[in-house]
Amino acid sequence: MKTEVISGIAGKKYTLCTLDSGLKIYLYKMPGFTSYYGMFGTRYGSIDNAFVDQNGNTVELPEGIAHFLEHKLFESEDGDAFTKYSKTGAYSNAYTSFDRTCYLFSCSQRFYENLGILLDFVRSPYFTAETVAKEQGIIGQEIRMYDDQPTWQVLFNMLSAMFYSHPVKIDIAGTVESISKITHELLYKCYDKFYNLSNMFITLAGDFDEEEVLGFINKNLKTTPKSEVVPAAIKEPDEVVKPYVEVNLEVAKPLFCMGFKEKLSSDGVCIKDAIAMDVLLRMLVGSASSLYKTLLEKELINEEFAPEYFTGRNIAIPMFEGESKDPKMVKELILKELEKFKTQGLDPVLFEAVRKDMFGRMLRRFDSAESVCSMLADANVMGYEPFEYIENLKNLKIEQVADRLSVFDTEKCVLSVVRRGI
Amino acid sequence: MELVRQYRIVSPNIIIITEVLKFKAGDFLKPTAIAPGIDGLFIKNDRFSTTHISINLYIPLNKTTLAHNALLTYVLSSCCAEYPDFTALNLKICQLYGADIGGVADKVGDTQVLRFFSFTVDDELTDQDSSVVLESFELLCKMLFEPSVENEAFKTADLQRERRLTLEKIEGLINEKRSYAINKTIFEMYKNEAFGQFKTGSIEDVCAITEKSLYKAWKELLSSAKVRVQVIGKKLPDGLFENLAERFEGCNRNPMQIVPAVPKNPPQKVNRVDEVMEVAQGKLVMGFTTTFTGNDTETAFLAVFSDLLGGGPYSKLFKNVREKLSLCYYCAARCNRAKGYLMIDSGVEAENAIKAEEEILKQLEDIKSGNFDAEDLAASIRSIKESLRGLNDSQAALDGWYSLKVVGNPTSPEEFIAALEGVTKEDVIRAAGLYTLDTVYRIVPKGKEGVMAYEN
Repeated sequence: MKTEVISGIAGKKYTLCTLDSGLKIYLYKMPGFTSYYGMFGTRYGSIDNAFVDQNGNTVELPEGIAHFLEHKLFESEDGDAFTKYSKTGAYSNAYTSFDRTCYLFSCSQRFYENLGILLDFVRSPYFTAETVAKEQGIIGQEIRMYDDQPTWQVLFNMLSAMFYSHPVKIDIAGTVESISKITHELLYKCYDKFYNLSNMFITLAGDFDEEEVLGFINKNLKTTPKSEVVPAAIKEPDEVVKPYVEVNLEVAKPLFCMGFKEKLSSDGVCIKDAIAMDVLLRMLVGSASSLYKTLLEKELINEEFAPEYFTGRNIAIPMFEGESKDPKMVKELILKELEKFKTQGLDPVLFEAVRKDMFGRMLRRFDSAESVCSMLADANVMGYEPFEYIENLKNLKIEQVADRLSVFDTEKCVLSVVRRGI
Repeated sequence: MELVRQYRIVSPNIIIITEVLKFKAGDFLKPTAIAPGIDGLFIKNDRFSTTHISINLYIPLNKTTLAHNALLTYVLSSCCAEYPDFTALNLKICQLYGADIGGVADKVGDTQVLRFFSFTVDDELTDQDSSVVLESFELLCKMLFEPSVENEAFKTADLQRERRLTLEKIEGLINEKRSYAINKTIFEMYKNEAFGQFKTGSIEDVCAITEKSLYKAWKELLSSAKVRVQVIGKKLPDGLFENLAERFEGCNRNPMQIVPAVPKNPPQKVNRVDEVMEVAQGKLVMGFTTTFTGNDTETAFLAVFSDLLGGGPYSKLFKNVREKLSLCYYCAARCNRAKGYLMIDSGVEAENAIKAEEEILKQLEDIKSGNFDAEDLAASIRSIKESLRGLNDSQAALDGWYSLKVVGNPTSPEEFIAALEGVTKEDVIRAAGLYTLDTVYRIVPKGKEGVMAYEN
């Protein structure tokens, strides 16, 4: 076990403890706060649809199994976690995203009792044929709910048009057909593989004594022998599948999602590049940009419009989402503005304003236990030191931002549109 | 002008200072400009390294002024005389270290609430010479009191831009079926009242707004609104309340009375509305009304009842309708104690819709007849108390809590917690008996009209 205190900007600091099992624990003390927030996560999400076993064979998994497992882990032999939390009054939940599954609670009282429940149920899988069958019905309904969400559909259609085989294009919940292949044996297999403590992390924030918390975790955590996850290699060509995709759904105005396929190095996303891209996107189409003004004046966007640097473990897509009467025109104007940025350079006044804006927003996040835990989890899953983001933002240079313009290759652009059928 | 300071110690780290500004005749050259009072609320909270300031304007909800006031909030927060161009204004806001400065229109009971807020990091965290907190507050005041206008009219470009954005917000409601269904149910339930309107007003009312009528609405708003300024942070910036009071001095103040909402009488028969759409999943929303309303303390038992019915995982609807019978993916109940309604909404497969509706009513009947676990009731009270305690850890949440308390003295979260602790099983049974089914609104997937049809 190794414990260190890591200091960062504006007197902020956190404690990082790495257990012999490989589990990383991040503790962020918040003096004077009433609430505690805790998260137990694993680097296992919808993109982990295959792994390499000890014999070197690639094992393929049904789409949506990480999300299915998350639903089922709430149940233990002695009752489900929701019931246990309702006895303490804590709020509890869980979510599965592309690259992680997280179980969380927040409370203002009985912190150790709540932490104990979290440590216990995440380490106590209990799956039977009967409970799996029942869950297939509930998740089936959840999938159908997503079918009716145009914002969800427009994103996944974009991902499918961008990638040939990268598993980011798989719907997180899977399909009614794919989840029908899930069995309780398969869930145990995935649990053993991806819920090994060396693949997991805990983040906690609140007004607690760090040593006491670490002592409690050490005493109450069930450990298992360390084993490594060997992910199956992702073979993805540089080209996009198709530049345009459109489907019909009941919406008022056409919805669009436009993204650029970015080539990542084998190390995944570099945090410095990610910050520079975040700044670039805001300089390009943020509320203080001239393009945002043009798009509004031409009545091509509304308040739903926003840029996003969609990142995760082995995922990085600069994208733009919104509603428009003419999504193709929006695309054209964005491409034109990018060309202008490339030939005329970036405006230093706007750069400095956007950098300050993002810096202030990041600082504010340290006032929320939930935001702090999410920031620490992001850093763990994507493999950087938590304070790196804000420190790099403080020292960011305009040249680093200009460098990121090379990502925007017109040939790698995909536009996805959802509009009402005629 | 005389400042009367009232202190109320709620808990060791929360002291509410209510500053009642009393204006006396004779302090002003023109006695007609005497304003009867503006509330200031400072919540001292040392744990944050940020300061949250809001200026809240309260006016009676009225169908003829609703759309004007809502649009006004968005026009005022998009530009001002000093920054007539919204891009220049947004650049200025970025330079204030990511300050959140803007306005939002809401409704609580029969009151329209227009909230103008500024949320900034504290000055010591910036490397700026000037005060970010005060500069943001100044900017907020400029938006509210010094808008970009000419010849007693707002500028056409600003009106057109914000009007289009508002119209698209109304039309875009259909994109999210769950919230669309809830809004449609409220509209159906309160068709004949201003409360039934979406918070931006109707498409027709928004379209009818002109540059001049908006200007008139602005003047009227500053004159007639009841005002409360709220500051949450380590310290109350010097002169902030006085500065605001001075700005209001020239506004020909004549604030309107803010009164409790008028609840709806029970309907003669249930209003059933179906809408057929190209969707995979159906939606079922059931709206109930009650004539029982009151302040936070008097209605705490209604909050417990609706949470026990359809709040957390211990609730009747979650446990039975979702988990045990798998009739829907979500099924939630929430009550609006200001206006007096209860809303149950769920996403259902068309084949399950009729059964889900019966089962929801059965769960409600179960509560009426006392058929619920004492442990589930305790769990519900614990859970509501937990979420209330957490309010003190978020300035935005705390500000929202207070700014939406529109009638009388605002209750603190701690006072509401105390009221919850006294709620008994009998109270919950009584609460269940207070509601009458008013409207059932459903989204029917195209082609499934048959399976979702009611018998008779």
